[in-house]
Amino acid sequence: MSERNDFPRMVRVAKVVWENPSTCTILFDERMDVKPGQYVMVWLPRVDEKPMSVTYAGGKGLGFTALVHGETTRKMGALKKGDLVGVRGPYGNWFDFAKAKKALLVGGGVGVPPLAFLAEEMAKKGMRSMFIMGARSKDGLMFEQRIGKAAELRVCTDDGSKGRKARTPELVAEALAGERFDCVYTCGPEIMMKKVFDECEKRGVECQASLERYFKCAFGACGQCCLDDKLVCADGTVFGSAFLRKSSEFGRYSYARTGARITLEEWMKHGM
Amino acid sequence: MARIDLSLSLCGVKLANPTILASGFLGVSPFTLERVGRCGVGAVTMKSVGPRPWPGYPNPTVVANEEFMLNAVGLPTAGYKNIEPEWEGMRKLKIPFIASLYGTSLEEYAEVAADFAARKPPLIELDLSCPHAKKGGHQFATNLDLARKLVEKVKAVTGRRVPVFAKLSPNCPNIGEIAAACEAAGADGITAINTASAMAIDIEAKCPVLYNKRGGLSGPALKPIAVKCVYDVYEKVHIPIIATGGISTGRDAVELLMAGGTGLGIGTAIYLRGIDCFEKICGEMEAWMKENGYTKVKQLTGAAHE
Repeated sequence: MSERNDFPRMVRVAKVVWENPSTCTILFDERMDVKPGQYVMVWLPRVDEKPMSVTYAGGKGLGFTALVHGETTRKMGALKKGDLVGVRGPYGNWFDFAKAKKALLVGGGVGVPPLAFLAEEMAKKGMRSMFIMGARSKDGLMFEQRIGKAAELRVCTDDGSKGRKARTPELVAEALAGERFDCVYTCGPEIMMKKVFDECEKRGVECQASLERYFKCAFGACGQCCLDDKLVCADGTVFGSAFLRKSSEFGRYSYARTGARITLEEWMKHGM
Repeated sequence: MARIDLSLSLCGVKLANPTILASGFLGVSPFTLERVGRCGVGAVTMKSVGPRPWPGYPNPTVVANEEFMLNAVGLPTAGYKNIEPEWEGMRKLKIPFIASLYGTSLEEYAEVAADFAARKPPLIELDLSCPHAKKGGHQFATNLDLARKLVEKVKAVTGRRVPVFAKLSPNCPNIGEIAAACEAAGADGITAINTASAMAIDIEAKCPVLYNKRGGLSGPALKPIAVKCVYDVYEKVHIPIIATGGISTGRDAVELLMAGGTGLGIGTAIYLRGIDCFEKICGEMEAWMKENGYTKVKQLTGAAHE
């Protein structure tokens, strides 16, 4: 085993690409062995460090995609080529698609990037997949071309400004009624993922969901990101149906930075 | 061959073995503490609870490598008035737990301790020594007079109901004297040591790595400091010591017991060896004891002293 080092390593920004008015991808000229669903801790010195799912890895370099909505992500959006950013990882498990033949990917909002990476990896293996992407409006959509090349893309928005005027779980219900899928892979707001999981349960289809909590250590020691007896940062972030089914906290509770257990609705209001 | 007996009693609380989950690791919810309980630990310590809700510091709060861990989590807490579900969960644990608390003044320590004592946890630990708290923190464990006053004040409200351990800091030249002052003030045990004040700077970023800049050092690099401090404390007190600092193997565990530990606080080993580090360490201790002719873990406490 190689020597462990969980200190940030400074890397230079190679490129910043805006995917839509509020979402940008930061790319580094770094080769890192990352699987779809894994994340890195991204450090802006003297500002903050945040977990970011990887959206590009391998030949294209390393990249993550951030929704600009607070001080830290605003500063990520202001990064320029050549700026130094700290990175540690990759961390967490990944979407398991070794056995799936036909997959349904369901991404909501800023949950789309790791699934875009997954769709490309599936396509490389010759797998057929359908991708349902949902956002509040057309300004929240991203990676349409990229995903379109790797999967059959279906788009919905809450306001109908692009694609179907619908919520993602509705499209999931229709897709599952229409064809047989081996597994549903989802990432997005947890309340959406809970509804997607419920649709999967109705049809008896396996589901894998990538969950989010407030992370500190990222290696399963501090306990901040607990979900029942699991640590989302290290045991996850991807959890399968067997766990989701028996979890008492999935879709219901999260933990504030103080350590207080709060409902998911309160947590969403708090922001990260 | 005689059976190896790792069990012990800590101020009347029975532990199946001396390993104790140190405060601050995996203690946010009782669910994760229960999981640690399934990994062969003797007892678990809750994450320290303070007087008022406090979110702690922004990230980076925890970084690590194979030699050491640095943290400045900053004692986040929901506040003692908001942890009813945690108490319920703790009472359902199949192993004893230690309720850890802190304040930023003598009055606050007494306020939280009074609430804790009324709930009768098996043991209480006073965190007198967090090196990265904004206020309070290790000033209480580095000043003889403050440490004595604090323990007196807490014992006045907890009475004889619950044994109280004082967790001390290595950031002082006289930990033995401070431990003796705590004992004289009524402490029932000493936890030694907390993390040591430390910092790391990223040279490319020209910036301290931890958001709070200063943090606490734990892991293998802390062990020699812990051994010395526990040795010093053992010479000065008659109350039991929970020896904490850099234990990651059975041999480390034996070393800290020989320095004077009765219980063994373990935290950073989770990072190095996984949550099941407790059963691994116990297994290694048993093997070592078998090879070296010991049958009871109690025989090891203080064995290095003349």
